[in-house]
Amino acid sequence: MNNRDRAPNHPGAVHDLAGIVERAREGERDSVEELLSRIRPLVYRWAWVRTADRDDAEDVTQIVLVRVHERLAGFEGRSGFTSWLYRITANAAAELRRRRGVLSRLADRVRAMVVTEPGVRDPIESIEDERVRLLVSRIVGSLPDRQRTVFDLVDLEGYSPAEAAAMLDLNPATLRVHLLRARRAIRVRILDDSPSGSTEGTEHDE
Amino acid sequence: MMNDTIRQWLLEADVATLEGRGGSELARFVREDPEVGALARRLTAAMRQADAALTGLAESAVAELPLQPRDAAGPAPTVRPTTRTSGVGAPPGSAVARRRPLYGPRPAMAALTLVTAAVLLLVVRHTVGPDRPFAGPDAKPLTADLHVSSDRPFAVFRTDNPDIAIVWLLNEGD
Repeated sequence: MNNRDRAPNHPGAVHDLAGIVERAREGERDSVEELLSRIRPLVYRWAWVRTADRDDAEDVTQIVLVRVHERLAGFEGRSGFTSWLYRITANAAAELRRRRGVLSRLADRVRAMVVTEPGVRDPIESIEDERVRLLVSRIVGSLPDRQRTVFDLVDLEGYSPAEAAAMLDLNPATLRVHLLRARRAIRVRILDDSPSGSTEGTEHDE
Repeated sequence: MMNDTIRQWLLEADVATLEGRGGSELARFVREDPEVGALARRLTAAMRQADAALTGLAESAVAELPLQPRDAAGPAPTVRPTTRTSGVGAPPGSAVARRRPLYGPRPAMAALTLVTAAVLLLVVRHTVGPDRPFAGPDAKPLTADLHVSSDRPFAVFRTDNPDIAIVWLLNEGD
């Protein structure tokens, strides 16, 4: 197993999983549970960013955890665990999207028949800072799929472009194009939301 | 100094450059020009906040996410796929525990199933009923052909009328 199982500089990343993965592969039950617990938030985030839908993200997350559980013995460590995990997540999200395509018309009719469950709201609405809420909404809700995933992996989670290209099975040059488009779309909005003259409210790095 | 060229650079720069690291011309501007540095810090701060918000939302979402079906008995406080109990190498094709149906809330599924069942009964009754043979526009009897695939959560009844097909959504227990 190589040492690429984390995105440096990212506080939510899965750090130091190599030992846990090895023990889980050997069937140690506690390690399996710990591994699944550790990866769950990351898988949900990836799934959410890919699907842009909270419920779909939940479904994808659960599918991925079961698949990791089933396939862990076959993980040989040729790629980083995180890359392997990301591909499982991406495949699960794609399968869900295909199945949704098959039934989309029926599903739309079903949804139209159902009154939205009271008390359920978009989790983004729970972000208190309005500027952050708008920014997250733009990232998750406005960027095209590929730009969204690339931007999240590289600029937010801190994976290198080469790592992200491997995780997404993308040509690095193609990834670069998507990344630059996403950066431009998001950063223009950030700067426009904060007029250039009002730098006194700028938040500084730690 | 701040001009449109530098602003364009800022819009596409790597995060490291926005943080003033490296030997690029823009990184030098970020380090040495207060106005450019302020804009770069605004960008990195906003992205850092967005990242923290996404991480926080994901962590709170999975904290509320059981891996057992919603109606399963007892709490599900730990992560435990339901398809196996220990070790690795579970049999392929295991069922995935879901918190909700994939394609819509359960009540709507039940309602739609009932509606499609009622339609099917009407068609069958008109088709094969001893008292009322079905008489369509071309006076041909209507027959239904059932197509079911194990990996799909629905069944399709095709009829010899190309304008009529009946889709029956299957509940998880079906």
